[in-house]
Amino acid sequence: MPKTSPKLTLATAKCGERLRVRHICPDCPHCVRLRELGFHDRSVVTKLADGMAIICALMGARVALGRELCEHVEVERLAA
Amino acid sequence: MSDGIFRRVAIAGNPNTGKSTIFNALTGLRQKVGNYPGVTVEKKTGKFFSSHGEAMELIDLPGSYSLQVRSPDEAVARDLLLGRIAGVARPDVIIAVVDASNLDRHLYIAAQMLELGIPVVVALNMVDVAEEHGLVIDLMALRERLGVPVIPMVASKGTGIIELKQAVSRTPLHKPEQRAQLPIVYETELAALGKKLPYPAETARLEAMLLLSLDDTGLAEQCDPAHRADVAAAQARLRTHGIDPLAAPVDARYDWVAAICTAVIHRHGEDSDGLTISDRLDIVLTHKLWGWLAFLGMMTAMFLCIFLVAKWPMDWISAVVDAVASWTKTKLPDGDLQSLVSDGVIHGVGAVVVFLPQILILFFFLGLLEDSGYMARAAFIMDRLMSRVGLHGKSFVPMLSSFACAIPGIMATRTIENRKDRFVTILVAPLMSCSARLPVYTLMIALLLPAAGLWEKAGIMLSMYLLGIVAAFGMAWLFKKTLLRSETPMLLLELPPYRAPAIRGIIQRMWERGVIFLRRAGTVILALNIILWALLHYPKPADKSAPESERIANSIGGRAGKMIEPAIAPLGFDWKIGIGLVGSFAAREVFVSTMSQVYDVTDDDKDKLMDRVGAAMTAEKRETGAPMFTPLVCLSIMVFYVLAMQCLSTVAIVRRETNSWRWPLFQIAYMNALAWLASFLVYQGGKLLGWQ
Repeated sequence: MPKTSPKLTLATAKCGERLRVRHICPDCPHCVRLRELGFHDRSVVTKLADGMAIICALMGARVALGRELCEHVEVERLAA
Repeated sequence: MSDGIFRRVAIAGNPNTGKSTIFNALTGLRQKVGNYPGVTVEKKTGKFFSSHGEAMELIDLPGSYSLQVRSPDEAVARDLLLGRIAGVARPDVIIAVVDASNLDRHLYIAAQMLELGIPVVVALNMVDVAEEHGLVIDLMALRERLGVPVIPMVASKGTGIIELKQAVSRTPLHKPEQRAQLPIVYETELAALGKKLPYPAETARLEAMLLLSLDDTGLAEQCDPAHRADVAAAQARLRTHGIDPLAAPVDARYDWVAAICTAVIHRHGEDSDGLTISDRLDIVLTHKLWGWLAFLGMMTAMFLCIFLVAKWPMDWISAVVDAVASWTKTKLPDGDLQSLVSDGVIHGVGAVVVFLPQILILFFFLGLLEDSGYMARAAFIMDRLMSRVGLHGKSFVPMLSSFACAIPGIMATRTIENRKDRFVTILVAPLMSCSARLPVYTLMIALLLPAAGLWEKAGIMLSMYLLGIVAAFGMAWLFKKTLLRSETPMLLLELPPYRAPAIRGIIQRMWERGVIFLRRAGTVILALNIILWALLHYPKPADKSAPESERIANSIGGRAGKMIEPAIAPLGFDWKIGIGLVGSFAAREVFVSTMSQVYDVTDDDKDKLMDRVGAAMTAEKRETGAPMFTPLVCLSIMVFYVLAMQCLSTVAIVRRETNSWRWPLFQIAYMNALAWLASFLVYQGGKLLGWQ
């Protein structure tokens, strides 16, 4: 069977990477609030700090998110 | 308008955009804090005059990211703007405050404001920061695109305040006509649903949109059952058209905002993706280890300052209190009136007022932490710990505020979205040592370690604060596992950029808190001291030459103390301490003045009031001749005060915030049982170990 690469999420992305939001899981309890904070599809995010919580730069602001929440945010890498 | 108000102006926007700075600049000291009818959220209003001299009312709304609310605080902003609060009219104009340096994000809520059908003035704040970032905003183009007045401002320097005042004074003010465009299918559904809802035509569209943007849980919680089926059916129809009903309005607004920003923002120089000063500071201040050390360092500095800096003004206040008491004694004849005025009123109230400097310093530090943007980092750091007890990092901010006073702390829980988490935070917030406990700790530490240096005293004080934190975390964990069981909330928190704190605003808040404290000292505490004086002086002994100790023992207060003595004796307390405990159930800080009355502290010598109270307590002996206030007893008293629920004002605010008597009564029961048990363990455990 062909191996499918696991999807890249904000939780699994590396620190310092520039990312583009592909999709936010609609089951996520904070889905609408995430969108309203600027995590809408196509927005560009830079992951600044990793740990139990993650800090990322988004539209000029810094947002701290729990790791579990970041797993709901599917992203793709952007060229540096 | 009948009340002489020409126009009602609401000031709204995202948190940390400078709303309060603009509010303060417009209203000065003409502010008042009240409550919205029927809800528990604080209403901050102020008055200012239009450019033509008409009186305008300014309403400071809580910071909000959206009208799709998640917390009680945000709900108030939404309800006021939509006219949902009975007895409160919708504002005539909205000042939408946006951060010019972050326009593409902050225009989102302004886009929602434009959909409300109320005239809007956009306050484009922090244009200086935008310029520093190389951003030039074409104001004419922005005004044209938004269709409303846009006032460039630097509120912290007062720039643009007059222009803003002129803009909201203008007559007539036009309702906005521009807004984000939704898909036609969505608009059709909004129109159809809006007609079925019991709202006025001008808000029906937005009300319908708020309902269509709810998920199943939100619908179950927020939608009237009579309309739930209609909303669900409309959502289902939108999905068949390939439209996500929750995401579509958000995406439409952001697309609209992005188009505006592309047209009006011109960037000079390279678009830097490098780390900002805030990012560099965050590398340290949110680090797993350094972040904690920085946090503990700041807390230590705060408590050291409370001791060091407050010492001088405290001595001055103490000297004034003594001078006034002595003067009173020379002017009034010997007798009950002289004793009441000098011992009951002046010394009683003075023993509490003397702590005003410490309280002001505490509020100054909390203001610095809040204004500098550090408070959000404290919440972030604490989230690691808070999540272990099942709470959100946001719960730490009310806890930190409770160091000053549990009342604003409990009110700050309104930012917590989950009801159960909010209640857990309310239940444990009073375990954080409030400023009213400071006098008790200071007195007890002076007795416990009379010859100790500043560092040792500050260390004991800090350990009392830490005990409160540990107890709060332990109880939160227990409540989250039992009584208020729910999943650990996920962290989602904006970290505002670090900014130089607005000292004027902090001083204004210190002034407000100082006035509240002094008003309390002049009312509740004064009344309590008069009652206490009467309880300790009546009935009079038949033998007028009876010693003072016998007089107090036979007084009503003395008998009450003796009545509860069997319950508190296992904690090392006697009936005299019992009187102090009973008085403290109205207000903790009364303990010191109670002790000064119980031990009949006079002002015959040159020492300060606190020193004399301490000396009298040190000299106090048990019936066996052993000293009463041994280190173990002092420690037991402090532990009791850390954990006991003894403040009627807090009980009242918990009743108001939980809308039930069940929770405050439960809180009184669990905290006092915990206090008794912990003091028992300290005293009896210490005795078993051979300590005194």
